[in-house]
Amino acid sequence: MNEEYLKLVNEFIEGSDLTEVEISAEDFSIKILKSAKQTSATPMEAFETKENKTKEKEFFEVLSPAPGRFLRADTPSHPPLAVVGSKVKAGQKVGVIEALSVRKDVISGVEGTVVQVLVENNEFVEYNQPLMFIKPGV
Amino acid sequence: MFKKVLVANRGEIAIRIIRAAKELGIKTVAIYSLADSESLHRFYADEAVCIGPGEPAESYLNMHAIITVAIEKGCDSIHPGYGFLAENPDFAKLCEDYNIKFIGPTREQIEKMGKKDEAKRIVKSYGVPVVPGSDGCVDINDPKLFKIVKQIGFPVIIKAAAGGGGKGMRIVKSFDELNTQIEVAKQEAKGAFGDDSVYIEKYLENPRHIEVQILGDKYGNVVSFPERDCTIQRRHQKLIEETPSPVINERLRKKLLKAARRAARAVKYLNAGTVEFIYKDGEFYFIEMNTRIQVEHTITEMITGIDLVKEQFRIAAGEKLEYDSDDLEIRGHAIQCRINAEDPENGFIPQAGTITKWIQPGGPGVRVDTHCYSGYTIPPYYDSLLAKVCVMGHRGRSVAIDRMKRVLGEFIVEGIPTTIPFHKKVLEHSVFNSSEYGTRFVEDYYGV
Repeated sequence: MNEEYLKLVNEFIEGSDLTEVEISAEDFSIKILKSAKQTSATPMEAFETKENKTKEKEFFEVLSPAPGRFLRADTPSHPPLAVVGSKVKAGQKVGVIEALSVRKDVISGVEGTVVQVLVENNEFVEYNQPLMFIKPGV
Repeated sequence: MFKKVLVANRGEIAIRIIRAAKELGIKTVAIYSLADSESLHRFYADEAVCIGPGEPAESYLNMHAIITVAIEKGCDSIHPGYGFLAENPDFAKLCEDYNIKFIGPTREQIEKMGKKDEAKRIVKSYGVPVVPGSDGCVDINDPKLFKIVKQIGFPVIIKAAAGGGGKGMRIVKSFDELNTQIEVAKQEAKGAFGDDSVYIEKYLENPRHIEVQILGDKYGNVVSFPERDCTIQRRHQKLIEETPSPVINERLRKKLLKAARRAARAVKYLNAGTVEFIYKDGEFYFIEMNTRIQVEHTITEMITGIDLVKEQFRIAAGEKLEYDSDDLEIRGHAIQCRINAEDPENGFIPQAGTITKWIQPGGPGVRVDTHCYSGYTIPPYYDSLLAKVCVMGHRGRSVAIDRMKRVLGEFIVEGIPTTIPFHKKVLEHSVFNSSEYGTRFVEDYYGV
């Protein structure tokens, strides 16, 4: 499976209402989960549905270390620190959170491959919000 | 009026503020820690943002994160509630720097009144009676120490200048223990508040704790409300509050309220605050001013019909107080019991755990402020207050006491121990009913 293929799958899910896709072929199989949209439900709706929100986690979630803006690159002229298909090491910087000019590194907790980036560049995120999914493995 | 407020607090007071804001047409943004993901306040707000892990320093005390959220969400105001950042002048300043209205007094007022010794000096110069004391901080090497203490007379109490909640306090009965106790108090104060300055006061044994709610607007108007009696305490933590006080008569009330207004005027006080006094043998003495809305503001609202939190918003928005202290009528007698997640049978140890059943009382003359519900898990990081149960009796104190007994009988909480059984016992106690007691009531009759 190549990166190009993974990107295509990712774009397909992003543009659809599907929340889960499983693809099996001779030499590989992959399952992709789309994170629940955090902004669409009002807090009260979230309260009513909070019981159903836990999902089986097959991928490692990279979480935001603070509330702030998620930046995918160190500066706008630099390439993103991680894209779908990137191989990352545990402890590797994969993004930045900026809040009132203070920056915090977003770190991957595992070694693996980035399978999905959940947040747009410069989007405001809360503490602990999932930013990307990483499929663990060397 | 403001368009959007960030509520920089949690629990029942966050809900209280959200309710006032909603009724005023102000959009609300709640912040919550990861440990408070299930807390009701985040669900009541129009928007909610997780700002950090459970530890208060990383969440509700994290000024940087709170201001970030306020800016990102387009808030024009922040209400700090009580506790956490409510009396932190640096936070008030930070709000100012980012052009966000801090709903409360000014940074300077918080600073001045936050230093208890300075507050005492200020109000004294405005003719407010204060407990005789050292008139400033003391140390063991101070050559004037002996003279000061001799003048005041034993017993004396050593208090932390930056203090509150009983920390850094030491009662001293003779010169033999004076120096040692000053050292101990200084160490405790340093640990609790990062400031080891202490001062000395005459220790009044077993007084009543009486306080006066005030509101001040930017036009210099100050309104005082009928006093609250918070004498039922355990280790300086209030358990039962009532208003008006059963030991203050009309003549004394006039004097007391006037003194409270004077204390507020001494610093041109803005927004809601409380002037605290101790009362003994017909005399009252200023002890400190709290520059925030208080837990027990509810009972004042009950007997006057004034929404103090809405008033906080209005004053902060630059509106004028449209009434006078004399315009307020006392409509009855109100009592509040603080229901804490503490085990009264086991030294009042705070409890964390899941509330398996929660059935709130109701009926005429009852108000319950809470963030709890069946299935709610109490996180271990914060104070143990679960609910404030308030009742009002139109025909005086004994009617209010009877009502509170009925109400606590209806309150069902399962899964964790609470202070409800303790409150029931106090309400039945003949001394409580006689209203002849002081702040040592709980210690004297229950030994805790």
